[in-house]
Amino acid sequence: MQMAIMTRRRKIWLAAGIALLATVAGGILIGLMPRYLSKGAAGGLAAIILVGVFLAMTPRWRMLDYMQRDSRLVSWYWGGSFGGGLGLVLAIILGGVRSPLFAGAALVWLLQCTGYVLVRVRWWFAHRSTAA
Amino acid sequence: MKNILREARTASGLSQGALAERMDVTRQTINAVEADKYDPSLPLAYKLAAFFQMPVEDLFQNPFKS
Repeated sequence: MQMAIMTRRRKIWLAAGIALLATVAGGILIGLMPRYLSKGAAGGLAAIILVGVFLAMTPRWRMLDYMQRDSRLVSWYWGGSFGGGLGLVLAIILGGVRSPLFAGAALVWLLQCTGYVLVRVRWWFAHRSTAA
Repeated sequence: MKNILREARTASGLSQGALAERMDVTRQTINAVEADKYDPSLPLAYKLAAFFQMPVEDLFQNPFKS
């Protein structure tokens, strides 16, 4: 039994480690790509890395129990939202509203909000039922 | 939600980790439920009740019943 617990725990940490390494490797690769690739090719490769990281994270997400998921959802909703908002404020302070820094931060923030709305709408449709 | 999970578990001679493994949740989840720091999901509550062979309301006190 103890062995089984260790194995499960190890799997969760292993999945987290692989995802972290993949993300770091992806980040380094994306940083190096402009030297060797066109914008389109670099974007395509970045998209493949993005999808790959999400696919790699899926088994880990499925291993999480309700409380673990809840803790992550609450953390992302409040911590992630505040962190993103703080990033926008810092971008304004450091570069002003017409700076590329603010444009990049705003684009990420906007896409994050769009993703939130899309997933929430999908979630709502998946969980609704016909009125009795 | 007040419960007798800790008593039921210790009476069965199980550690939190062992029970967690059988319920397919983490030890932290069992610990939080036992300490009344987190309400279990309905499936987990039923799973625990089935495991200890008792009705859910014997394991978890219904806070809406006087």
